[in-house]
Amino acid sequence: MAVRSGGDYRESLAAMSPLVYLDGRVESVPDHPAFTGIIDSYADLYDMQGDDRLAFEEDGSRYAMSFLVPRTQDDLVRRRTAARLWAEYSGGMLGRTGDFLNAALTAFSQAGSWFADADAQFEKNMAAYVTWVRENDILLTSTVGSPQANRSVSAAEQGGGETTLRVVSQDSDGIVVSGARMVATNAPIANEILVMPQTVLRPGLDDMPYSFAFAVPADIEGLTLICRRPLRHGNSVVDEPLAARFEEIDAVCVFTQVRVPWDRVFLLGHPAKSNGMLTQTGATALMAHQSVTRTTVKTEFYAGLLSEMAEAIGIDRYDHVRDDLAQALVAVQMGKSALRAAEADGAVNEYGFFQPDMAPLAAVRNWFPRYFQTLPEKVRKFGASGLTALPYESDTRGELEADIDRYLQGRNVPGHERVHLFNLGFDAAVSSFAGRQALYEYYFHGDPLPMSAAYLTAADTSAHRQIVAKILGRGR
Amino acid sequence: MSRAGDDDRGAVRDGFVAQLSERADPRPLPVPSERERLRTAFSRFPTGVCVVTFEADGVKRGITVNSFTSVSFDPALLLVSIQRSASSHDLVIDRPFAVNVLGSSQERVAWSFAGRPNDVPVWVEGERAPRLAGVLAWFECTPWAAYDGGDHTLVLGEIQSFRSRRGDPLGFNGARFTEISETVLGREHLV
Repeated sequence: MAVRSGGDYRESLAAMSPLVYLDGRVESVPDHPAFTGIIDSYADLYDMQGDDRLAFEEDGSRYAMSFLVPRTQDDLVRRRTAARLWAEYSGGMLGRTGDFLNAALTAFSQAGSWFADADAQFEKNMAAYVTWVRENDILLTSTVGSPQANRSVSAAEQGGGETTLRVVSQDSDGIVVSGARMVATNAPIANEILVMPQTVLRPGLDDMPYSFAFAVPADIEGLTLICRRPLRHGNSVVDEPLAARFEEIDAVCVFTQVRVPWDRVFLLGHPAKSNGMLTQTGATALMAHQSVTRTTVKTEFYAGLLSEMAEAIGIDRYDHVRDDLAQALVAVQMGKSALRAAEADGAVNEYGFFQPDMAPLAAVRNWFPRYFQTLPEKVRKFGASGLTALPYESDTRGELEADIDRYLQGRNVPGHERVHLFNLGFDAAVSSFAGRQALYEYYFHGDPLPMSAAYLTAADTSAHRQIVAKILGRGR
Repeated sequence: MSRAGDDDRGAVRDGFVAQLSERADPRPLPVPSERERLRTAFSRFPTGVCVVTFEADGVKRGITVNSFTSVSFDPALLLVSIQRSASSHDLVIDRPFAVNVLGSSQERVAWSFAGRPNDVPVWVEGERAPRLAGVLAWFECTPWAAYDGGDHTLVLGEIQSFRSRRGDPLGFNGARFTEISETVLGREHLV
């Protein structure tokens, strides 16, 4: 089947029956108002795959570009172009589009020897799984984080060892897991859930039951998805331009004696190795290449939004506004430059695929989560009280139309158009949807403080210090 | 492959497993051996880290140990337990030796005498045995007795000279090096 259409995607969801709770049991995910907007958007993304920039041909079949194994710098450009087209669709608001985890699977499919180093069977399992996902254009999400009962002790010790997802038994059919993972964004509308090891596991017996990687169908027996409250209010796409279409619901995953067949187990019983599953296989680099593409588009979205708002209300001549706009444009160039640098300085890795250079991507991963927080702030500054004068779409028509077009007009737009634009500003900077986006970006790669610490630990400052040492006239 | 579920969701399909032509062989978690379980249980008891140092045939040697015990004040005795399979085991028995208590910054010194030699350790000439620089405490000993301890030998030394200073010790807990902080700061009695 290879690349699928929006219709194929909808059919796949209709055939599933995940156990989803959202203010009570959700009988049908595709029919629930919390999911209709996001399912429509994902269906649009799949429909876009008719575009040759989003798919590649191999042995007569077309596959999602996110499965293209990069052999050259040009292949990375093709991957980025595809990721960019999907990101543009939502202004970078969709963080769990299939291309993100497909990047990881692409790396896993090549890094067979890494899995074989644990056991040849794991290499086979992973290869078969990636082939199946690729052939069927399956939508994956992943689970992140263990229960936060007590942050001062390790994962294995949470709740007396009874809360963290772990292997509770095993037999000839597979492993049986119980416990919870805190976040699986999009799980109710995904086909499959990838469950990766949680860092950091220690060698020795204690962390053995936690050292696994597997994938399960989102509707596997024993898995309960507990959703957070939706952030859209069920209004029109004019009232809620982002929330109505791009809300990826986060869900807590509770595994109760879930039986995972051996075919779906990619790693088991190698706690020390588990920690390196993403970085050592090159998955981190391919995923970062996708996510930096997305966050760069997101910065472009905010730069565009700020420009539109500044022009609409005639503040685009003020120096402080121009300074803010210039900074956003600079940030766009930082993201674009990092991507080009990562591609240009990429190299064929030990698994034979062309891996982007991690250094510029790592820099963006450390910078963007904090920088992003300033973008909604600029939107609030530009829009000011205009972001509170936002009537319903229905009220901008009919008997109030003349009043609204007169009193809410911008410099060059009638009132209803200004309201539409500022609704977008509201959803990008003020609404609950905006708040969740800020949280999402801040923690997308992990807690920024440990991220910084790891970044510094891995950094080689010797060349910088050499400059200082030379000026001080001392040898090192 | 369909599997009938007991709940009201009915049959749950697994598309991936259904299309496999060959099923995966089980690769279960290994059942830990009695020895591994005992080693893990022993590791629950946190200890400091010492290096037993001595000179044999003109070569300075060291063995990193975490089984160190004070034994007696009069006479002044200490005990270290040396694994019989250690390459220096036969050499250290019946020789003067020093016990060096490592500080928290000396993890690499510990590794150096635990199978991963490096150039970090700095030797100090002792009166009876070579010692290590930068340690929190050292004890120079002459052999007092050696007892059979199964696959270890319990070596008792009579302390001939020693020094110590305060500082954060290197610790060993759960089969990992750790830092044991002096609990001084923040523990003042406020009046």
